[in-house]
Amino acid sequence: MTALADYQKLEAVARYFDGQSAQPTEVVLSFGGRSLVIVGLDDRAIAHWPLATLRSLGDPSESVVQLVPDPTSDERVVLEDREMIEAVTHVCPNLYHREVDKPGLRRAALWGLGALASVAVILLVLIPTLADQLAEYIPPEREQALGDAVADQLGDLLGAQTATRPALCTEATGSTALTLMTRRVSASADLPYPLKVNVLNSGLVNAVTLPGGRILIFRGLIDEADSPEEVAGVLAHEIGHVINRDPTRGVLRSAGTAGIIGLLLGDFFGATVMAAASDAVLNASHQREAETLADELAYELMGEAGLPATALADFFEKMRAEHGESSGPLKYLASHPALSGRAERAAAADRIGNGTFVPVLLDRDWLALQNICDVESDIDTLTDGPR
Amino acid sequence: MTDFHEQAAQIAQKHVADESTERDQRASYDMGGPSLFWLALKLVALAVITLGVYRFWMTTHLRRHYWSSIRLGGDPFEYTGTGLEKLLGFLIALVILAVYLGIINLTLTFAGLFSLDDPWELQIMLQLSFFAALPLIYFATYRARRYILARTRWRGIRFGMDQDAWGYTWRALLLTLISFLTLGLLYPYQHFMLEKYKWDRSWFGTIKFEQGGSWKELFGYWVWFYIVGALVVAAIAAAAINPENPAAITVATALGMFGYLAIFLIGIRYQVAAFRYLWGHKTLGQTSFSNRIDTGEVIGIYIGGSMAVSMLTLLSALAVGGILAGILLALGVDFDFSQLDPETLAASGSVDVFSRVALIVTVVIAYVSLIGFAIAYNQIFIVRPILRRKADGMEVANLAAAASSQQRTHDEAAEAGGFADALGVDVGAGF
Repeated sequence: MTALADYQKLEAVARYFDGQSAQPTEVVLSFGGRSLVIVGLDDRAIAHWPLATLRSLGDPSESVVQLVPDPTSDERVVLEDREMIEAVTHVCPNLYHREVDKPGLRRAALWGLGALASVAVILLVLIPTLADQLAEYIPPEREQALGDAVADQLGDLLGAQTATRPALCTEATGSTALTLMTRRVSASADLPYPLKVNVLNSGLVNAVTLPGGRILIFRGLIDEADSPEEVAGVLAHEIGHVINRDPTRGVLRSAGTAGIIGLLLGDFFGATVMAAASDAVLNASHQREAETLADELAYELMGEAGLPATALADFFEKMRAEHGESSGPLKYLASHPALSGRAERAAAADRIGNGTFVPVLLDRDWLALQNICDVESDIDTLTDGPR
Repeated sequence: MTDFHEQAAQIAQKHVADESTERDQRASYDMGGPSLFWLALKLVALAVITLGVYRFWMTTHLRRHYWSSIRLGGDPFEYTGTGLEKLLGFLIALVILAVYLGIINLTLTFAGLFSLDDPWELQIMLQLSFFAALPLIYFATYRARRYILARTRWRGIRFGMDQDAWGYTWRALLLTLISFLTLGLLYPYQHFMLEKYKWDRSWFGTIKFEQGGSWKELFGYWVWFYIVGALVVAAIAAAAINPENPAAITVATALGMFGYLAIFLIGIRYQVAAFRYLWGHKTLGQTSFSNRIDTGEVIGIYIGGSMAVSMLTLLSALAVGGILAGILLALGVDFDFSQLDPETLAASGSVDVFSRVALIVTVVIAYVSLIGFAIAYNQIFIVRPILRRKADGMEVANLAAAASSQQRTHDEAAEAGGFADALGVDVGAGF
């Protein structure tokens, strides 16, 4: 405590507050023993604050410093005397030490894990379950109306990418072939509403299921297929989505979970971008589950229809081998994750093996389907499509 | 010793004499102290490194800095909140909000799908989820303000606010509806009534604040929006009726161009005038206030400040980018940004992993430093100057009367502004 000796004679005027009222008391500060001695102008001793527990609020470079006897006290001394501020800074060991609230940190860690777990349950269990339950109550007509609206928007979206709005392919013999294929594949399906299958004149290799049983197969997918069974496999997969009412459940789920990740990140830099990305990841995880279930249904439908269940898996494998996992035009692959064991499960569901089967389309019908885009009509004129 | 005490007594007497005159009747902002710029930059950096978790501590440290810079009667304010309690409060709020918003959004979407064919109607229905969040936003505003007051002290005495967030919420909703129905014309009424509601429930120790005055005074500043708006509309209408008259078209174009600027200026003028008027009619027991903050100065801070923030942010980020680029060049990194595009990557097939990672890191650091500098410069050139003008402009009559206030008990305010943090509500001291 040699430093303390230097300041033995130092005194300074300050304002003292007793923590009970806002009334200031003019006091004189000095050092006595290992304490800061606070004496009133009438020489009455007010307090001795041990230097070891003394704290300062604010920075020593400020022109006014507030002193506290210990971190929990309500008492304050407001000090403006430069020399005294310097002296206090020198002799008080813990002046700027802030207790780390260890129990508090532990509580925070526990709460943090609890909160993250709760949010995970809300996102992954509560809202999906609720969405699935609610989806049951939506009348089929509403879903169909929604599907038409989405198809229209999809047309705009694709049109914006390629400068021309893609049209529906409606060549008569091709449409008949598509109807034949749809009937064969969906013969054993337990459908919530009638299917409406159309081909969309777009070079993308893709197929989508919209709410209300509307399926759009992109021309590019038919172009890539080597046999009608491959197209039928994809169609069966999409019918699987219809049976499970995936699009409608998806709309409800993403509506329920949207923005919750935004809450987690708060209004912090670029958080909206990150939140959108996280929402996409979350939806993808829902989608993955839906894809697996649609696959299962597709194998069943194909099996029931007397067609090779492996056609779908074969098509995926071929696409992957030819184009790689996620290259530009193959939207279908990108949105349909590489499902491990797809080939095995397809093989297990397959009833034909290497045996013969009645092809889903005759050669002449397959040719007609490949040329279905010879006649087009605007997406707005969505008819009920082939049944 | 006695000599010194006499001297001290003299100083003190002079001090007491001052109490009724100039010095102690003022608030002031102390520009000394540690550098706010480096503090802000350090805090932002930490917030980024911790993926945003540190932001609660960031707010806390900034508040501590600002509070202790403001003096009233020579005595500094004090912020006693902690980052940890803010984090805990946020976690509590998070779980409640996730359930609430999830269920509301789901129900609205379901109701929309169930009953509406028209996609437009459906879109409108989905926008309703914003209104579902509105009560929470008002609730959060009140709670966050209560937390801030409960963690503010002056002369060691706590401030505080009554627990009345729900009363505030329904009044705020009703007043918002009134403003909406009157096309915003009655917004000053909403503004005044909510301000009054909050201040009439605010305390310094055992003395309560009170908001006097009338909303009609604010209306005089607010109505200029409508006067300028009507002028612009009238000029455009006149030009539309007489498309051959070049004068009408010139006037309409000029008004259209200056309309934007005028609305910006009217907005600031309203803000400043309302701030001055409301403080001029607040009392704390026998103590009363007035503020002489100048509209022109505030406009100058906003215009000059935004220019300084954007230019300096750009320059600083360029400097950081330059240094990074230099390091990368020295390390022999290939500056081919097409490497970041997955399609090009798939096409070329070759991957220079080191270059790719280095480029991604560079882009992230550049982005983050851009935001970091923007936040730090914003504190220096906008937030602090305005706070400083507000503090320096504050005059207090009969501050001595406030000294009779007694200590109040600690208010836990456990959720610590967590709702506001989760919803991104600016409560006026969010910094």
